[in-house]
Amino acid sequence: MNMTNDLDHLIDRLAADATPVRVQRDSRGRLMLALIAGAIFAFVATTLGVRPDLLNQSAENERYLALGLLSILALASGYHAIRVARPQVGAPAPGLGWLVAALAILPILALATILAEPRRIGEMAVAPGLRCLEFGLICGTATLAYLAFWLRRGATVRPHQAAWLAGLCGGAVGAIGVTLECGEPSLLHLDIWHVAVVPAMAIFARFVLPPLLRWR
Amino acid sequence: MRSAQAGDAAAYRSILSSTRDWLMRFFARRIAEALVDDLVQDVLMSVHAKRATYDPARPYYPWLAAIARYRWIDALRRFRPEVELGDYDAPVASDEEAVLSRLSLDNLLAHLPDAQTNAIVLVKIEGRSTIEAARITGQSESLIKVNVHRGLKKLAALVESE
Repeated sequence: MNMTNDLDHLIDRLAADATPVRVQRDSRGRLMLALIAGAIFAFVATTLGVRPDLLNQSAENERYLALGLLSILALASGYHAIRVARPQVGAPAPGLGWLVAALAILPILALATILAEPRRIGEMAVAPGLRCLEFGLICGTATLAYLAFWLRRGATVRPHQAAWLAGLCGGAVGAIGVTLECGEPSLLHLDIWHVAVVPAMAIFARFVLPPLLRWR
Repeated sequence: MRSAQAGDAAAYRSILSSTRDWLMRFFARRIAEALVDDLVQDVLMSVHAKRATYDPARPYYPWLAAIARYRWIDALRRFRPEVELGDYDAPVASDEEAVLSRLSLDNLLAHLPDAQTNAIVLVKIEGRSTIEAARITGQSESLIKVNVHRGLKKLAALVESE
């Protein structure tokens, strides 16, 4: 009886505090995410320039394929990362694992190429690779930061999956940014070092974000 | 809830009252009876704090159920039987609600190894001490603690992946 009264009092108190709230709409989050990604690409294009072969459509097909896969991954993971900020039941991102698997074909192809032609291992040189990895992570940071902010404002009930999704999205945006500007001619370099931005940022997010996303 | 988000206190009181009733039924099948009221209180406060995340274009109860499950795992993690339950208010085995609670939880816990299930049920649901749980199961006290910890972690992952 006492507890029932306590709950009644709590309800009265909460109702008295029923100030209007601005609904956290997915569409607003997705628009902001698109603007941030667009701003990153515009910044890369205007300050460092886009590879000429990409602009005049003379780049290798695999380069466009990589950009396409990364773009789809960025769209899908960003879409679901925004959505998962709302409490909900049901699978948060069906099919995303297959998309990640599709992206993994690129580094697998690169490794298979190296096994078949060991002399090409020099195309995966560490120094330029690390430079691209670093630049990609920097490019993706703003996206990841926005998603972390969005998820913290929300009420995700899946902090680990939300962190993965945010990391995948940030990583994919970063990988696109570096692929747009990187002048390295080798596709092996792209397949390994540019794609590596995605798992690097996803793993970082997976371990850093969940404690920040928990709420009470 | 849409009206409540717009600041309508009467509509908000009405939806919170319905929410309370729904939560009482929901948790009655998922946690020891003595903890239900506290958990309902926690969820009502979460609903209030996070009401901006409810999308008025979608049904209300799936949103509420997701919050309720999230807080339920929290409550199981926080629950310390030695502190929170005395002998006088331990769940009674013959009580219908307690039986339902056990049955439902057993369904969910079926995904865990037996040792973890037993540890969670004895310590977190029935409110026994780790010493008692160790005596009943034949596990050491430290193993009971480890199994509770690992079992709850798996349970949280299970709920998160559904």
